[in-house]
Amino acid sequence: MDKRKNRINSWRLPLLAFVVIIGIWEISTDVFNINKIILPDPYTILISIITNWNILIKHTSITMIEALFGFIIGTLIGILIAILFVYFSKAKQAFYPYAIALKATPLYALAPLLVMWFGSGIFSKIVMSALVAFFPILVNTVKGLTSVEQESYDLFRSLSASKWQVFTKLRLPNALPYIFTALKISTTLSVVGATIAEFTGSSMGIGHLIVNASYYLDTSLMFSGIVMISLAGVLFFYFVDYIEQKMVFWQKND
Amino acid sequence: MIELKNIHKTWQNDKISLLTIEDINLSINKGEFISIIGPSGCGKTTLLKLIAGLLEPTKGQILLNDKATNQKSPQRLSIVFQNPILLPWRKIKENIQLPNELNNLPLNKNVYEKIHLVGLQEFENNYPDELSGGMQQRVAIARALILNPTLLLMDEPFSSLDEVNRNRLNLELLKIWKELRPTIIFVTHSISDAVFLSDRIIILTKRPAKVKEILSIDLPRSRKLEIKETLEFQRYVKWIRERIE
Ligand SMILES: Nc1ncnc2c1ncn2[C@@H]1O[C@H](COP(=O)(O)OP(=O)(O)OP(=O)(O)O)[C@@H](O)[C@H]1O
Ligand SMILES: [Mg+2]
Repeated sequence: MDKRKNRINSWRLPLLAFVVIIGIWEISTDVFNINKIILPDPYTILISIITNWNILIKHTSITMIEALFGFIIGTLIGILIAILFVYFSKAKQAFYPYAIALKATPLYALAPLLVMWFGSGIFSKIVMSALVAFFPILVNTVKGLTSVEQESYDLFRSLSASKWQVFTKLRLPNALPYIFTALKISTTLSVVGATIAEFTGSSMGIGHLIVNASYYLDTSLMFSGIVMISLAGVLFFYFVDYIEQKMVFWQKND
Repeated sequence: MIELKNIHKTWQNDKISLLTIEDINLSINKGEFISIIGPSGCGKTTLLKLIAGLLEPTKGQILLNDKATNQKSPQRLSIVFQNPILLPWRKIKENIQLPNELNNLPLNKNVYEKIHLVGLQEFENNYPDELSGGMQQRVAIARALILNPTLLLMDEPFSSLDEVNRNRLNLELLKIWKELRPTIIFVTHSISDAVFLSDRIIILTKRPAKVKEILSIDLPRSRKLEIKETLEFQRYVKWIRERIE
């Protein structure tokens, strides 16, 4: 009961802020007579979303599918390589510093190159998404797998646990909170990755729709696209967040 | 029977080389209750880990029943560490099952008996972070007993408990010891606990740890708490305190 009250309370202020901002936006576009091509008012955008609903859904789905595939591929490869790094320390010593460095670089700059290499279909978008999702996962998984206390290893060793048991019953669960932190970051990154790659060259997807709308100075449609992909991205994030709460129940969120 | 033959341990890394244990010779009988007392940082935990085979001595040899510790011995050995080291993603019951699980034994073998022993029946389905520090340590003790070890190594297991609970668990420990007759090596800071529990007390010097004194406690077995009031008990305590200070 109390919890529910709290949740409603925690939604109340952000909701109020949203209404206020939208209100100011709506009124000021009228008051200052701003050209709709420069900045359409929220109501116009809403109308544009409704009239273009089918197109928007189609293109958003395409981008989200690319992002999702990229996310999954980046995650799987990231975790796999992290495990390799942990068990082959020479490989880790050689490559891990680069992984940390690359995690902090704007890999989006590679988008034109990827489109050139892999074409303007969805494949180049999946590669872009996978690439940006990959590094945070790799780095965090390595951290999680190696941050086990010495005493926990001692405990397992004193119980004559096999290497496999140490991995599945100690290291992997220990890494789970770290992995989920990275997964949540990578949801956003992979959606951004797919969209930016679509900007560079594509015939479908929300990035394509936005670029195309800009040629026709259809700013409302551009905003509609931005709203849709943002909502989809937020949904994606909270979906992973929900799974995290189910799987990493022992970690107190702050 | 456990034999330590001129054991040395030096901690070595790129910068420092720290002699922690210097020439310790000991021989501990099967079923004996031994306490180890020594100043903080002298090397008690290191010594226990050496006996457990978790560390290699720099020099010397440790024999468990005439076999070197690094060989896989049939001796069932359990450790209670200074910290409980529970797995936070497992319920209390599942934490206690861990040794069974790792050794491919029936999961529930001895589990309820040991949960009962440490008085945590009501908490078997809770998670570790829902328990107090003292209760967590009791879980660690139940887990260590699950395989009915023949050698039980305990590293200040009760130091996080208040005196009432410490006394209770001391009595429990004696009961377990009498029933199962494991060899127990018990590291503690409490002189009174050491005298109360032990057949012999080994007093270590400050680092590098050497054996300073070995004291046999000739109090009658089947000890009750009242024994702490006796003059003889207090003489032992006083004697040890004088050696430590
Ligand atoms: N992994 C390690 N690497 C290097 N030095 C270590 C390591 N573990 C312990 N030492 C050093 O060895 C010495 C003995 O440590 P140990 O933990 O055995 O002491 P202790 O007697 O158990 O202390 P306490 O009573 O505080 O638990 C300490 O000086 C410590 O700094
Ligand atoms: Mg210690």
